[in-house]
Amino acid sequence: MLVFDSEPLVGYFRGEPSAAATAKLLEQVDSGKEVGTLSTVNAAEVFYVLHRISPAMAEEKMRRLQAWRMRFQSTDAVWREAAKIKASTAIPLGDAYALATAVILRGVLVCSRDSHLRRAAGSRVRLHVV
Amino acid sequence: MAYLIEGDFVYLERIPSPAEEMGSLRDALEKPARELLREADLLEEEKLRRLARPLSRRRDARLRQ
Repeated sequence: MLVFDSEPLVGYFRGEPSAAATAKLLEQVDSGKEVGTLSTVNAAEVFYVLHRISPAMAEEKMRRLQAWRMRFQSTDAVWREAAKIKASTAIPLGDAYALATAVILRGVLVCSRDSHLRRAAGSRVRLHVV
Repeated sequence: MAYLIEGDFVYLERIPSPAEEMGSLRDALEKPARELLREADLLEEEKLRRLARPLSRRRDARLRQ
């Protein structure tokens, strides 16, 4: 299972250098070879960044992710782990949710090359850096 | 090619593949992803700092306003 942080997804839509690597992962999710998961907190981050520019565009891109079989993970099972991570590491709450989701679901966390997550994850989860 | 069907039968939309969709917001998003998300992190940190202040100090600050 791949758990996506918000930064690789925004970077993918923006066509940043990591976009091709993220596109390959999304293709695997779309084809059913991999399960892709996004915490609803990270989904909200992607959504609000796009919504500031265009509400219609934000809706469209979220529909894309859903159509590519991305699963949205609610915070119910994750919030306590996210809070513990936030309490023990100096990372943004959104990153804490991405990491906690990967920990709880035992997934591989997809994050950017210079993300806070690379340091914070430690040995808790496997990382796929794009 | 995939189609998304919402509601009863009304709405059909062709869904591009992830490879086709890559970079579709290149012109719309002016700042790098990291910077766009960082702006919200700073607001969050400020809020958490405020919440972390002792209650009495916050009450005093409210009374002064």
